[in-house]
Amino acid sequence: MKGALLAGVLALSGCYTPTKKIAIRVELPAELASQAKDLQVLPAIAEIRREIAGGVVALELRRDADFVVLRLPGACPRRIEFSLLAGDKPSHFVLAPLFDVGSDERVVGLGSTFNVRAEPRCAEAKNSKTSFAVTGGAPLEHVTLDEGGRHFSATTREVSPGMVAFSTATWIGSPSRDAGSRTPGIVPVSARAQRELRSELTFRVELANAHHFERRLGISAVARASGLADVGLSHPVLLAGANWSLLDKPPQSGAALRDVGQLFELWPDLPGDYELSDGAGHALTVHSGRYDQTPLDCGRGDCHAELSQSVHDSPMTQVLASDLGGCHSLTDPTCASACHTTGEPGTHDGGFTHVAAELELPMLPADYDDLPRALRRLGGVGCLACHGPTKIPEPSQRFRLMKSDVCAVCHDAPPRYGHVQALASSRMGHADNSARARQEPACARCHTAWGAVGSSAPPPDAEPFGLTCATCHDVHPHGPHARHAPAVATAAATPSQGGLLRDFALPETLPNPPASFQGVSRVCIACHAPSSNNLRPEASAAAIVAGRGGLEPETGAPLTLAAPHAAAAKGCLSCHDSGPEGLVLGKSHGFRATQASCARCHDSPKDRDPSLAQRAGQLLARLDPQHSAGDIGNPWHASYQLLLPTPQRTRALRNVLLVLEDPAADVHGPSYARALLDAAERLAPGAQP
Amino acid sequence: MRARLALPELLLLALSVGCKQAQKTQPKPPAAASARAASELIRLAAPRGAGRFHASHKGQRQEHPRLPDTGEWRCAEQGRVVWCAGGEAAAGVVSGPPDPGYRCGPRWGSIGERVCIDEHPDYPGPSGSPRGDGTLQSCKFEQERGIARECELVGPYDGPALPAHAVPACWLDRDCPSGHCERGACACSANKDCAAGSCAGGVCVEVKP
Repeated sequence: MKGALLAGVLALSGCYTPTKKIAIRVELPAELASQAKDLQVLPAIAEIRREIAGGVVALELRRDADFVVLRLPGACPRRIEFSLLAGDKPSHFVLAPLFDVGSDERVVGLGSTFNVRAEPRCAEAKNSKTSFAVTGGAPLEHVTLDEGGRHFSATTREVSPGMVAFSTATWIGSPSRDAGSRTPGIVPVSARAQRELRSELTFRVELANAHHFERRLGISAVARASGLADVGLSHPVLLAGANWSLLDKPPQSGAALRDVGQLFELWPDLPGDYELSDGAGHALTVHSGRYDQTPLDCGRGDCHAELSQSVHDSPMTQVLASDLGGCHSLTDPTCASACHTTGEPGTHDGGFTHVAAELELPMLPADYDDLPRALRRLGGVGCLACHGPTKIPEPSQRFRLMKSDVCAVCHDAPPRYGHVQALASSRMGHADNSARARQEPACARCHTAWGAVGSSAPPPDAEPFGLTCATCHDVHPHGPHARHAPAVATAAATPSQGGLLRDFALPETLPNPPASFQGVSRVCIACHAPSSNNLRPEASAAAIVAGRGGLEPETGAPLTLAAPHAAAAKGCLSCHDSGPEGLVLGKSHGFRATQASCARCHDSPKDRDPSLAQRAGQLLARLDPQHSAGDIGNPWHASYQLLLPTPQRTRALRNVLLVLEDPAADVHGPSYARALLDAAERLAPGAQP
Repeated sequence: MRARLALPELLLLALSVGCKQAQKTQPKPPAAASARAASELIRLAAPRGAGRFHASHKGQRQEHPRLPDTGEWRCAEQGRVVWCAGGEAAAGVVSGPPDPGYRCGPRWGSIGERVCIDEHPDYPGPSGSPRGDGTLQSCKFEQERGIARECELVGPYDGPALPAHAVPACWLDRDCPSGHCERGACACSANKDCAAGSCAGGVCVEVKP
């Protein structure tokens, strides 16, 4: 009797048979993430506790229950047998939605017919009604919905000239730069251009119990492209030009060229090289590969050790680790993961979203450290995000890395990201339109991106691309100038200085420059001040602002004056900070100064004063009547030859040209401009003694 | 009927009842502690960060195997042990924490390289999960394009196990004073063969304090 009582007490107490627990992690489909609290565990007694974080439910279960069934409206039930789980290690499960509709983003090509099918994953799906609808974005053609709302089919549009602003060049508005008449070769596709060709579908499921849920699907006709010939696997490559043919491709590749209206389209379907040629004899090799299969040993040995070190702390490298883009869902169409990671969503390129899908990771973890290794290697804007997944360009093609098209893959997404659009709207965006500006080294120094940073020139037949993002920004400063500032004024690159800005040397014409020229405006000064005390002063705006750069005509001594505008903390950018309306970020990259800029400091901004420029013109005519007309179509510094009889008159004329070179001298430094003209006046013929 | 209980039995009964009471009356943890517990459970159940196995022409293939960290590695596998060498930091990558399944150390005789050993590699389990016991599996790494693992059924491994706490130290035989590298650890016949640790079970092992 005593024994039976004791056994009963022990059995009931549980002291000798403590509950064995098992932990499982259940990830819910993104569209059901908000319903995590409705997840049922059957039998309910098996559940000890649960915790919910976003679309993840962590469950602690009684092992002696042997199994549980997980049920969530909208998802297929899942039976989990504990005997199949490995030891006491926590296990990880993904609850699948009722229907498989494929990936949330897909790139299908221009003028392509595509299909989206809702495939039932389990018996519970059969009692549900489904439908697809085009709910936004680019119009689709030949839309059909059949099989009871479980099959959607449509065709994307082909592209026609002027239909889409594919890259920075087309915004300039030159009719010769439309999609149909571009320089033969790869067409860059900015984030904006892709968005213009992206359609949005909504897949709706209505459950028998009147519940419903929706899932958004993005259909892009094009993939973003930097214009480099190094592309992710399965990224459609658009080619401008005529009569392109595919000469060679990797063995077993089924890739073919397709005429899509004004362009050709090539889909690399296997890693390797694709050799192309057009009717005019242009040759092109497209290299394609997976991002996750590319070694990241750029810093090995003597290769790019300094670059790798330089890029490590870059905000581009850190962008995902520092914030995860501010969003944690790979399936959220507003999510910035496409621009905070490497690769193109909707393709099979081994990029971040593709690998996340391969890892069956419907939700990003809240903490970067919890990302699997494979995703951490693709998280952030790493080397491959700009350079491509296979190989660096041939030397003759490396200039393409300087183009804003590389940055436009992310930084051209107005209204949120308007940096590239704003820059393209500025005169800097097409500073190299003149062939002479591109060809003469003295001009190229400030009129081309490659000339400004000292990289090699593009081939003569390359189309102009203006001063680009990379002219002022350097994501990985390196090279001899990173340690040794040049002794003389050049625009060669020196170490970066905050905000990824290049640390250009200041010209010797501005000794002891004001403090405001040492900050973010330092990058402007090298090209907006005379480069030397020569007789053809270029781009004198910074000199006029700083109140220095002129010479006493009689003695050649520096002519300086107090410069109130130079005291503005951000220098040039204190006023030149505006651009196209409606941009949230990057508007300042239009570098426009407006009346509003003046009003920040001046209660009643003055009107522009054309008399200064008129007086300078009159002085020029008196000092050098022979050349006073200048050369229509060229700035003074590009055409004027000073051949005056005395150095005194030459210096006087130089002062006049400083004023003429700055079309805003009356705003930048009217007192100094007047002082320059007053000094010149003393030497001008007919001057009053 | 009244039962008469002996003192030891009464003590057991009291203990057992007390045990149940303790469960019932356990005070609710404060909010901060609850939040910490929540994150612990979520974190505890976090996936190991490796891809599933999928059927391939050779057996089962895992595209994104666990590796020691985000660096550049070359790996090998034999006798249910994975060992990797290299570890150069990946360019343009924020590294994050190392994989807790690997033990790492400097590669003997090299400057900057590391060697890591995983004595509990992933093996294909139910539905391709990487949590199988791997009793009958033999796997190897494929590193021509990226890095993947291929596993095939070959029967039970009947070779010697790598001694516990083997010092990760070698990739090639020439890395070891003894001239023989055994699954990432240097083989030895005496302590003099070990640049670090001591010789036990035929390999250099860590010396436990």
